[in-house]
Amino acid sequence: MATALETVEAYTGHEYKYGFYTDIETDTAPPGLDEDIVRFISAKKNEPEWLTEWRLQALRRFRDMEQPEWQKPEVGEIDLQAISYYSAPTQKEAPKSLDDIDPEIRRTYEKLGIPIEEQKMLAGVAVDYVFDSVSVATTFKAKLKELGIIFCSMSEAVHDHPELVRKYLGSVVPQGDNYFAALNSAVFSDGSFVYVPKGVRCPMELSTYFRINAAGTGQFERTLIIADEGSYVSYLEGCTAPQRDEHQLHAAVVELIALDDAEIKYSTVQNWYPGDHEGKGGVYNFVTKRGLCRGKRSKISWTQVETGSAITWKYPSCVLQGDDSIGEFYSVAVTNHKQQADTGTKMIHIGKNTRSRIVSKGISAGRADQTYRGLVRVLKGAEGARNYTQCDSMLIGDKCGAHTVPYIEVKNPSAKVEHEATTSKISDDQLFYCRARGISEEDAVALVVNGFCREVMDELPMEFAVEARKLLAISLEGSVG
Amino acid sequence: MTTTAIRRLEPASGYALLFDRLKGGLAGSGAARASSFKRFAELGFPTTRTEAWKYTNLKPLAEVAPSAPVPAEVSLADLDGYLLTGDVRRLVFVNGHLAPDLSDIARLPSGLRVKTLLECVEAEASLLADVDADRALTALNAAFAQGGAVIEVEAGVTIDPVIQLIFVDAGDDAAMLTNVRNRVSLAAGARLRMAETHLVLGTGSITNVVNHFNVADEAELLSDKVQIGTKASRAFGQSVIQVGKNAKFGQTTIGVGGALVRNESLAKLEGPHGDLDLNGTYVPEGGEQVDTVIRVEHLAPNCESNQFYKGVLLSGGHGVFAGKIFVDQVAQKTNAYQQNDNLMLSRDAEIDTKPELEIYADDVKCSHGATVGELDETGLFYLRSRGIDRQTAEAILTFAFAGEVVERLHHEDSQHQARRALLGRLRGGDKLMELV
Amino acid sequence: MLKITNLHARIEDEPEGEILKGLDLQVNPGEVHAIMGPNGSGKSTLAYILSGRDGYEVTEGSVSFEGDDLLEMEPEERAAAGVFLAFQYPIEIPGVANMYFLRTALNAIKKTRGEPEVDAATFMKMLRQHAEVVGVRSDLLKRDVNAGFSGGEKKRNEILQMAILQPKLAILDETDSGLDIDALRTVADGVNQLRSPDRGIVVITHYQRLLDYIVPDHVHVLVGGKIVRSGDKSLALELEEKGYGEALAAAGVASPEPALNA
Ligand SMILES: Nc1ncnc2c1ncn2[C@@H]1O[C@H](COP(=O)(O)OP(=O)(O)OP(=O)(O)O)[C@@H](O)[C@H]1O
Ligand SMILES: [Mg+2]
Repeated sequence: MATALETVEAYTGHEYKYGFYTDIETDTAPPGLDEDIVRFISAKKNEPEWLTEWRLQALRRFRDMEQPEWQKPEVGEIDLQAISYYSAPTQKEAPKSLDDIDPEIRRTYEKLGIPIEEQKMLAGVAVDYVFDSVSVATTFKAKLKELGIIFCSMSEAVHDHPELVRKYLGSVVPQGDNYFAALNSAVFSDGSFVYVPKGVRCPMELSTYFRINAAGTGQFERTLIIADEGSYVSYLEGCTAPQRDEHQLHAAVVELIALDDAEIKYSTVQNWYPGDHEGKGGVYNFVTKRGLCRGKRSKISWTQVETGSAITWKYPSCVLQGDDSIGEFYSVAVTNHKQQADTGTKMIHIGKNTRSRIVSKGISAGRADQTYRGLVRVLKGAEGARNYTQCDSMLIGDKCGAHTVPYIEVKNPSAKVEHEATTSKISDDQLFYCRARGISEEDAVALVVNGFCREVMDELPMEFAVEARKLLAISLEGSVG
Repeated sequence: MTTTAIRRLEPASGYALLFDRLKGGLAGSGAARASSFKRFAELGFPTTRTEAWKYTNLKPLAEVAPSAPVPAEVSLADLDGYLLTGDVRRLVFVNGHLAPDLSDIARLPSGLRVKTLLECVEAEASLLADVDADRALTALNAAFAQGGAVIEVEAGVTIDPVIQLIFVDAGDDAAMLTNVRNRVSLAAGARLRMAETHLVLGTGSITNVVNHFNVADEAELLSDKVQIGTKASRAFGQSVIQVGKNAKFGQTTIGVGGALVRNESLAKLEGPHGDLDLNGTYVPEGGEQVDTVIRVEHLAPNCESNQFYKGVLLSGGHGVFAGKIFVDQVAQKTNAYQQNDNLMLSRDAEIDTKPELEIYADDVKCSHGATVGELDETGLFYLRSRGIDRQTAEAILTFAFAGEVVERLHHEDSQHQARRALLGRLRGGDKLMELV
Repeated sequence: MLKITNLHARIEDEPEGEILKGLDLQVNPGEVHAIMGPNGSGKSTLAYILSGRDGYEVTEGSVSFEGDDLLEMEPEERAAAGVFLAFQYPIEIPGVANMYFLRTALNAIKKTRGEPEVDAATFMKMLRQHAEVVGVRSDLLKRDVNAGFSGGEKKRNEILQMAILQPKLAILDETDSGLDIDALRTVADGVNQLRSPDRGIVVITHYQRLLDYIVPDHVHVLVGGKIVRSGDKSLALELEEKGYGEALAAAGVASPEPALNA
């Protein structure tokens, strides 16, 4: 019988299912980054003066910064002048209904398994589609409007709700927060905007699908979600990109704000193109996601399933400012072949009796490398703060790596912080038990890995969970050990 | 603008002045001393932007105008309570200078060599060799070190007496800089137990110790380390540990007192089935900071390592724990474990802990845990319901918490020393002295 | 249906000790065989090799199952072909619900055989029925596979899996150990229900008691990696009474120890 290693080598692995490219006309800016490009983007989007200025200010800050190098995955200097900072499908006018959307784009989403069609809407998911940089359609807008919920593209929000955008944009992730956030602040193209008014429970999942399509472009979307007092919203984000030999840059910023008694649940299934088995091509996913629990008893919960991208640096964080606020981070990250991921979270406890919970499950296969990097910081005033962190890594094959780098900084004696982490190989006994019951080796791996991740998967909204489970299995194809 | 530039703290000119003044009298190769000092000057002190020093500010150290360690009078009575009893051989260094009257290395069993650095360094330049090329304090140590022990055990010999090394800081000059270098080598199959005792008897100065432990195949070395400091003393220590095939190294460190105490261990499991055990407890208070920095490298298959550290953070105390387990791709079937538990007993205490895993082999069992919390209220209540006042109850529970580490000291006298020092720190601890 | 000829095997990492040293066994459809033998004699090793566990090396001999070379097949292929092993120590799989696991297994086997898969509703009905028969409480179905099950619950769960998968050749490795009297009877009933002219059953056990319920056609004594004696059910009674010593002596082996260390 083949040994584990032989099996690893025998399988050459799966192909990226979403690697097609959609042939549509796009309106693309010439590559390069300078004040003119920033002005060009701002003008294209017909933005008010203050926003143009805000972008330019960000660009100036960005110029004073250096590409960070503390992460585990090493990337060379990224040539930011070679990237085009704006790419939009050419469409004469903004789509008024779904029928107006370019059929090619619609077909793309169908291939992705997320048809923009009635059924999905009946399933109760309102979807915003961001194609390359521009939001192409937001469904269900009318229904949400009745409740006073604003769910639109960032560009629309800038025009229709400037007071909200101006008040909150950059309030959680300031322009100069970090290198990629500064870049995003200067050139962000579009993204989703959500505002849920006081006391409203958003009755459906809000969802955005991101897709990088055009060649040589980067995607710099910006998402802003505000949950006013006592409101609730669950937001889903999914992403794919075509298969290309060069690297594509995705540097998004997501800001969440929860006021008193509000709750935001943010789920991501990230499946950007990971590059081929030799590490050629693939998306660089350098994203800044941060939530501010500004209000008392507010709650922000991040759930992520990360299977794609060549390199991921991503630390969805919670700033727990309001007393009794809660931050959660549930993560599954799978890396295979030559993928690298450096991901984790930060929980900053400021308010009294703030609680946080971190559950991270990392699976590394092939020649991939994965790092959990987390920070739990309890400030002096955070009386009664609690954190629990569980961080498990599973290794499949003997050429991959798994690393755990948690920082715990506590300045309050009444805080209670617990961190546990384990790293081990996928269990041969479990695999054999499954196989002895007739389950194929690949399915057995998927089954055991899914079991390993169950706690996190359970946090995903139903319709996402099924997709995520499949994605997990696909990502692990060819990794059997 | 460059954000990466500030990674180096320029040592004050006093360091070069001191070196120029002392270099004529330093034992060993003058050229080697000079090149070590040059490397130190080039490296400079690390800043808080250097990951390993993130929580530790060396600016005060960099700004010092260091003075030379001077001989001082210390009597056996001054060491009362810290001398191990039973079958013991002892070397005592006061401010880095050997104190022959206090030492006792007569009747050494055969197979054991105990010498001082001064005796050996002329013949064996490697005693001052780089054990960690990038560490400024190690280079500084190589430039200045005069004190220290060189211990060797021949192959296959089990040494019965315990070797105690006592380092006394008897300085009243906070800028006095004493550098000590020790090397302990166990040849294949040898066994040795030792104790390192670091005592500050004056108001406290700066000590910088580098140890090199080499434990060859099948050998076993157990070491107790007790460190007693004062409000002004600063103690830096680095141990480089090499563990061979089927060999074992164990060390338990108890630290009480010191403005800044930093213990770094760099342990390499170089042969299959090696076993490494590092334990420690720290109890900083009143402006003190204690750092424990560990890097365990699994470089061969089937090795086991354990790190078990407990911190008690008293009022104004700052603890730092950074322990890393590194598992090389060849180190299959590694079992590595690390636990850091912290008890915070005050509002103005701080703990920064960073337990880290870096793993490149798949067939491993590695785990770590870290906790921070206060005393368990239920436990306190239970004791109080049995009539024990709150303060004593707190002392009992805190003592029990740290006690788990104390138990791992191999010599009973070390355990006594540790318990006394711990209780001396705890409010209400005096009432428990009878427990010692 | 199963023919083991001169089987020699050892642990992969330990080239020294051969564990099976020329084992012969033939199981025909409809037969129940009991294998008894002292601890460490190689019974579980035989069971694992038959089901395809990694880590063993067959150095000599052959195993054919319904004419195919069993040793060439992957574990899941053996399962699909109808070989079932009830583990001496069933494995826990955290995070995977017991009933989900069983359904996945059943459908995987059906798919390989080209049979239609069983839909969720039918499966649930079938599962409930069998679970009741073998005494697996319904909460155990929802819990993770074997995780936190008591020793007896794990054994019952193995029998439940067997009942659902309906194997052609069932190998039960000490499924009776750790069971209370009622459980023993339930397990035996489970096995007896499976008994049919086209199935073979191999029961590994230390106790004659189980054989009162599952009456074997043949009893074998495995010592030092070989079958040293075979007989009918009366052999089990004899062993129970006299221990292995006499059986061994009769077989020309003085005591199990030298045979083990040989
Ligand atoms: N993975 C292994 N590594 C080393 N030795 C092994 C291994 N597996 C089994 N053995 C040895 O092989 C011999 C046979 O073991 P086996 O489990 O087959 O015995 P058994 O007959 O099932 O015993 P029991 O009645 O106690 O279940 C024993 O000596 C055992 O220690
Ligand atoms: Mg057995």
